Amino acid sequence: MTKKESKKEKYLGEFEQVALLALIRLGDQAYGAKIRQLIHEQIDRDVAIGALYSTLERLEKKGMVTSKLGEPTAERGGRAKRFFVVTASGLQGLKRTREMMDNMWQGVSLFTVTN
Amino acid sequence: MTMQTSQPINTPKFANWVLTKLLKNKVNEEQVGDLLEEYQSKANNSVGTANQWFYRQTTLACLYVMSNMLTTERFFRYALYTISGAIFATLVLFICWLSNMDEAPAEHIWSALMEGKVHQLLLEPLAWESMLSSTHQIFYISLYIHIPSMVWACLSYTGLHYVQKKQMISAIGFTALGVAAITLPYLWSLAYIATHDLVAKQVGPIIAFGVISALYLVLPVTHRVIASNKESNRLSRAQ
Repeated sequence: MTKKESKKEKYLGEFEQVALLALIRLGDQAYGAKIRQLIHEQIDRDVAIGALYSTLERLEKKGMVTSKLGEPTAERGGRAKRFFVVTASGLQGLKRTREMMDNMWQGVSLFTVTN
Repeated sequence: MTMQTSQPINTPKFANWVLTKLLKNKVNEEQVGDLLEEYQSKANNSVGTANQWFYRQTTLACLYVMSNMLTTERFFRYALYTISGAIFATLVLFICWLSNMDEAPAEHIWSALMEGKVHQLLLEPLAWESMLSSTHQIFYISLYIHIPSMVWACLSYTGLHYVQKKQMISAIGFTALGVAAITLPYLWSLAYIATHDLVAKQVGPIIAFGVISALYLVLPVTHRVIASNKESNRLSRAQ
């Protein structure tokens, strides 16, 4: 695999970026219900619970996120929370993706009038 | 992990059953817990709105699980095997019916047969009625032995095996080749009958070539196509 290809693989998808940013913003309170609420409040997106967990599990497999189970609570029907934390690799992935997007935006003006 | 002393949560019963029982292996405990927690916080303001929200989340979860199932490799495999099995069974029945037929059940069925339009017959309810009523007839193995079809099937299968072994073509290209190997004899039979002035006795062996070749090839080619797609997916995952 060339250096270019290995970099290309580590760019994150749109929802991956949204999920990682939500984890960073929530800190030690980053679990499913709170992540969904934050995403809904910030970008008005009602994401299916399965889709969120599927993304987080994929990021965990890539080593960008770690997770651990918390204590069960009554309001959750006796079910535990799964807390997620962004790893250094996840932070690097976010940074790299942002740099890539910044590069692409250079010299682009959406206010250009076209005929 | 489940706490023993949990307080009752009045989520809509049916939606709760769907999430906790029907989708038990697809939606894990933490996901259900998240939904229940969100439900509780919404129910404090309005139970009606919370119920509506819970049904919506359950529907979203179902749709997500279904879309995952539809795109999984296993579903694709089962669907292809089922379709090719159904085609195989239909052709077995059709060949037996045609070989034992004394008289066509209707004039238009006879006309379609004389034109070699098997696909048209298979869309004809009267032909199906006649075929299904002929299932009591003995299925002689000799009905399914046809030398030209065997030659075509062997050549096609060997060619497909070679192409796959040498990785000369993409999975989509290989699928297209497989479909061509199955359908070409039939398309040739249609074209031959349409361009020649033939009597009933001459039409039979030509239809036989188109139909029996497909019978020989449909299951092994399906198996090869699935193997080719499986290998292609494995390689793309490994990269």
